[in-house]
Amino acid sequence: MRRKPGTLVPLETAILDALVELRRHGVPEAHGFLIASELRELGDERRLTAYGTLYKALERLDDSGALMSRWEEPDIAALERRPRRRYYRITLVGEASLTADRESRPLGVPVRREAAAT
Amino acid sequence: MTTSRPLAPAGRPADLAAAAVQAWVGLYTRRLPRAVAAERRALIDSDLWDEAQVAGLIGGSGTLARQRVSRLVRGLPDDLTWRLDQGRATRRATQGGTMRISRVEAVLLASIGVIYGAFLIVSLFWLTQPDPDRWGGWGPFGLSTSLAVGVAGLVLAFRWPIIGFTLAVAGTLVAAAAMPWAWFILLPLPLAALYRLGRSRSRQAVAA
Repeated sequence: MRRKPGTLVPLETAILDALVELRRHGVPEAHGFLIASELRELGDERRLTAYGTLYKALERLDDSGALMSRWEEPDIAALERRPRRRYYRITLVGEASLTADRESRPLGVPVRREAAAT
Repeated sequence: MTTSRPLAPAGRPADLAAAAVQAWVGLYTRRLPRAVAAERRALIDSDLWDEAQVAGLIGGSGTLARQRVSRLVRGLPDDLTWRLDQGRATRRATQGGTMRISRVEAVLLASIGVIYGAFLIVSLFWLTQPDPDRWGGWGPFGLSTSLAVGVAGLVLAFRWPIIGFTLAVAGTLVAAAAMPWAWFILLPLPLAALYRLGRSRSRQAVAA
């Protein structure tokens, strides 16, 4: 399904919301699983976002400039004996998209509920 | 970030579910550029690891297994559309405007084109002779047509290498059939060029 450039689907809005929320709690950037957990918590859901759905949405947001991402240093992952994480952080573009999305959405429409359905 | 690594054990059902997820990722990233496939595998491996750490604190292996299978199944449509998008992007990068032929390949193409052109002129001259019976049947006509196709293919190969070379090779094969005594001139050159192009194309695909 084609959509207007610059517009967000509910899951993307929810991801940006989750990153803003995490930043408010002192986490400036988050890896995929942490974002999925935050989405579940904010959306008051039982299920985590599917792997394919989550990473496809993150990639889209990254490509559009709403997110910035980086692979963590290999040394850190090696020290903790786990796979490397990719960290995502919301950008000014992402915040502007989020604000625009909120303004265009009629009052009382919960974004997170729609997003959690995926 | 190259291949899926074994994850920390999280109990048999959960490990089996993780293996299923990794196998699926391995399947849908097949034939993608190495970097793209490795990145997707690394993302999923990292997620599986973090998922297991959290699940270890709050639930058993069965719960984690169910969660993994559920996330896998619900994500299948997005995995498939992601794969299609990546495949399209790779094809554009390797077949489209970003594909460049090297100077050596350009010289090779031009040389083959000149040889084919010369043969084409001779065969056209032959066709116009009053007594073409010296070399009867469809030979002269087939040779002229197939050489014309070959030359067109070689010209196209500068812009669209795959399409161009396919045409050139098809033309060459028909020309070799029409003029069997000259196959040793016609066949080796385009086949060598095709081999070289295939090799550089696969390098570009891996590097993309």
